[in-house]
Amino acid sequence: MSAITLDGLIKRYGATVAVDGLSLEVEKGEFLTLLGPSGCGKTTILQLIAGFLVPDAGQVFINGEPMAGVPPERRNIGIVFQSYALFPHMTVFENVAFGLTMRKAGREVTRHAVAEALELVRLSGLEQRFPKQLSGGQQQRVAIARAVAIRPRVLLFDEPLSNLDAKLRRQMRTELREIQRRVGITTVFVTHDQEEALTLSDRVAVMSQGRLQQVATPQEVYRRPATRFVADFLGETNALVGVVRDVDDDHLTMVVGDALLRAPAAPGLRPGARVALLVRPEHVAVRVTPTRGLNSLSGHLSQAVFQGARTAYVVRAGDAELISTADSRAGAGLGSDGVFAEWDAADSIVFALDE
Amino acid sequence: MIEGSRWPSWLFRVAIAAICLFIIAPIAVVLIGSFTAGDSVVFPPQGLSLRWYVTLVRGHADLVEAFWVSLELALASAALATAVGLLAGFALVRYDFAGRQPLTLLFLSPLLVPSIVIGIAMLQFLSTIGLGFHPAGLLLGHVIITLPFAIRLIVASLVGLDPALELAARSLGAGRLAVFRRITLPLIRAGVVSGFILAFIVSFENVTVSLFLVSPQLVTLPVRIFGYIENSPTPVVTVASALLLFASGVLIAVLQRLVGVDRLWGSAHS
Amino acid sequence: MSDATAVARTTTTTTVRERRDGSPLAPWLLLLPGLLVLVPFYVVPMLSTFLLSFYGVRDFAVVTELTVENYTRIFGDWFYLRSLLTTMRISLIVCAFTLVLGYPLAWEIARARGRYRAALTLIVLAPLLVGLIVRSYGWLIVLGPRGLINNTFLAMGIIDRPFPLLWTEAAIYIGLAHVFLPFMVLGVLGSLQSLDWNLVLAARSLGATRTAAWRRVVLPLSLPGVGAGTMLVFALSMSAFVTPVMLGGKAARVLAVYAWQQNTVVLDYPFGAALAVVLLLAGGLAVGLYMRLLRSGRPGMTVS
Ligand SMILES: Nc1ncnc2c1ncn2[C@@H]1O[C@H](COP(=O)(O)OP(=O)(O)OP(=O)(O)O)[C@@H](O)[C@H]1O
Ligand SMILES: [Mg+2]
Repeated sequence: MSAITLDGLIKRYGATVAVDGLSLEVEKGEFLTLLGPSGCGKTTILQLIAGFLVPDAGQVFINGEPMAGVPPERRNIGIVFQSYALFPHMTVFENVAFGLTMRKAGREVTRHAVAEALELVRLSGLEQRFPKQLSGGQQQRVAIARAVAIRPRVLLFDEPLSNLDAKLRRQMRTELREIQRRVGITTVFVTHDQEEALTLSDRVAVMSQGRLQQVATPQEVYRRPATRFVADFLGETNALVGVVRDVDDDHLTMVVGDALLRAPAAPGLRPGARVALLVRPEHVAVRVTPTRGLNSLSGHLSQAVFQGARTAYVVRAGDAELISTADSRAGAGLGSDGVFAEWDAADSIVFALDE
Repeated sequence: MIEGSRWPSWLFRVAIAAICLFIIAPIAVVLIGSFTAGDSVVFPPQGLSLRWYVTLVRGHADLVEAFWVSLELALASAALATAVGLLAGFALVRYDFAGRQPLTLLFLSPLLVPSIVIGIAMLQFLSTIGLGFHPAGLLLGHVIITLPFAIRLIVASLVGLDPALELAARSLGAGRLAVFRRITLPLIRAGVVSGFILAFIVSFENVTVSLFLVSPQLVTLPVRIFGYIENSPTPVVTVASALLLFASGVLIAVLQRLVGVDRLWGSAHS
Repeated sequence: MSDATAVARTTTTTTVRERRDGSPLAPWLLLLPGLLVLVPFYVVPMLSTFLLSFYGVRDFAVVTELTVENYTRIFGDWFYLRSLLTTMRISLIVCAFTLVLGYPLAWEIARARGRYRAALTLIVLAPLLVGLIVRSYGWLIVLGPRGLINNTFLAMGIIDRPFPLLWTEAAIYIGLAHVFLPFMVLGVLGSLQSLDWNLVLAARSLGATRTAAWRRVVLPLSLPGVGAGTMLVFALSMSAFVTPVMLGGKAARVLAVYAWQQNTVVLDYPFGAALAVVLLLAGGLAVGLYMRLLRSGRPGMTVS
């Protein structure tokens, strides 16, 4: 049985459809990330799970129990908010103890649970501080401790790291994952930061405009994006527009400008279809001579942008422009004229252009 | 330093000082004048003493009684306005429902309608239904005119409260009532207390609406003073006015500490 | 007026309006106590007074047939018409007075910083919390025949006997200007506060003198605030009657005083109701006119 089941959820705000017929299962102990651009409905989904919002249609199940009519305070769900939402008039201890106090837990039980939660986030000793007296990272940990202390059935995070600076964010990310592994609580994590999604999750659910685009492991969504949107949203991609010429068992050939390119076949594509071929910059190599067996576009090097460890090369090939990234040390010796942008057909993916 | 060398900055400063004097002077003379040793309302006072304070307490039971009436009335109406305003303000800020905007306007409208019109309307209506000069009428009138002040401060502090705090408490197992009592209320306490104080001051000082609702048996201090002035002002009335001034002065100081007097009118802070 | 719009603004800009999970009755339950006070004792009286203003009186009893005779009496009788004009004249003078005093003050507050600013703000706003009675009584002492001004001038030998200041229309101007000055300052300050001072620097860098920069940049941009302050002061002055009675005595031939007397002494309620309606409209009209002006106004003149 799944920890969370969302079944055909719809939520409207007036004319806007924030969540549009969404179904999703989250397994016990799983760390699932909802990833999508701002305004795609991520917060709305969390609030539907938490019970702050009532769906216009569809159902939420937690551990198989239907949640319709169950108020938020009886769902036993831990939430960490973007603003942390620590109660400013309570000490760290009182904050973490709040859920237990509400459950009328005994004094000893409470003290023990609070100590355990604070130890989990490595904040023991700060019990008597007020939230104002803590750093951003520490406040974050208190928020996590408070949510974990009630031993919730599910943990929900709404962009919890976005208020931290870049370095702390990376550190908290690792720590968060570790904490989640240790407590083993099913977690739904919302972010619009793809790097966060890819590093943290067991599975990533990519959303756009209230709908799911793909739910899969990080590797899968990155390597085999199910839709053009997913491919564009996760990482950089080069897109080449062309027409399918031949289709065989598992490959197709397409024409881009005056070049012939091979790519893995995609269902439903027939010769004559207009398609976009997508390939990631790190899979494109720039060479002076073409290599047999690889897709190869001849063009000239129009720019090299140094980015630290890596350098991005911009190759112009007819109308098309391709970006290739490579280790900065490897790029020396490229002339600006007459280069080949090359990649393995298996690293590319094609989508029909529907118009 | 306003505009160019032809208007030197010191002249502008003098003008500002003069305007400030214009604002303060009439209030200061009440304070100073109340300590006069002379027999008539004269300024500067003829010597200083507490003579008229004693006279007021000893020989003017009407003023003393009016003072207590005003005090009780202000306490009662401020308490009611704050309680009613707390509930209404919470509904107006935290819920989305048809009619929210017009209702907000309704609750604040006693600020827009001239006090005299409110006074006339209430007087006419209350005497039509046979409640003219009833103490409840006076109390209701004061609740109505103080309600917008209480609501404004309560709404402002609710709006400034991160709603995620309430959601967090809900998710941790607190029901609506517990959230309100343990999270919302403690965090908007300053707003609620200032709302109460502001409502108290407005009621305590009010004369315009009171003039229509007082009965001979139940007269507030401002109305009593107004009656004296229509006849002839004496130093004892100056003392009564000074009492009003002391009361509001102390409360203004409290408000200044709690929220800052500039925030009471919303637009004066940077 | 500015008060209500300010709250309306703050309450609409909150993006998170949760609790959509609860019963739709919940907000109404919370509003119920307020509505129980306001509807029967404020809304209904206002409506009934409006209705009453269209009733007549025969033999000291109200007759419930609709008539406009109360209004024809106000606008047809020279006595009340003149009073209306007097009220408007006084209100206009009070507006001018508060503008002359309030604009420089708002300017100074807008540019002041730190403690000086806090002190100025307190001086301007705290008197709003000191009641009408105390402030008007203060002017009674200042303006009286043996008050601060007369005694000062007598001592300086400028005059040889007390000059009548109290119980004149001038006393009303002064008293009302004092009472309403904070509203003018708040209005003007609203505009000056939102003004981008870099505009002034830009104008100076383009060759404008300080005076020219003020006249061509600051003044036009502060006009909405001046308008807001003026309308508010005008509306408030139109219905003021405590200060006029206290300082003007018999000179207080303003409409609000007659409205008060009709309702508390003469007890002609229908006519008193009509006077109240006229007072309400006079203030409301001013505000409405100003809103119209704003909407049809030049692009720079938006509500701040
Ligand atoms: N209370 C509301 N009233 C009206 N529309 C709303 C409300 N809350 C959200 N929306 C709309 O619903 C859509 C989804 O909002 P939601 O907050 O779920 O997005 P999100 O994915 O969390 O975005 P972000 O990454 O910016 O937090 C948006 O178009 C938003 O404008
Ligand atoms: Mg969000």
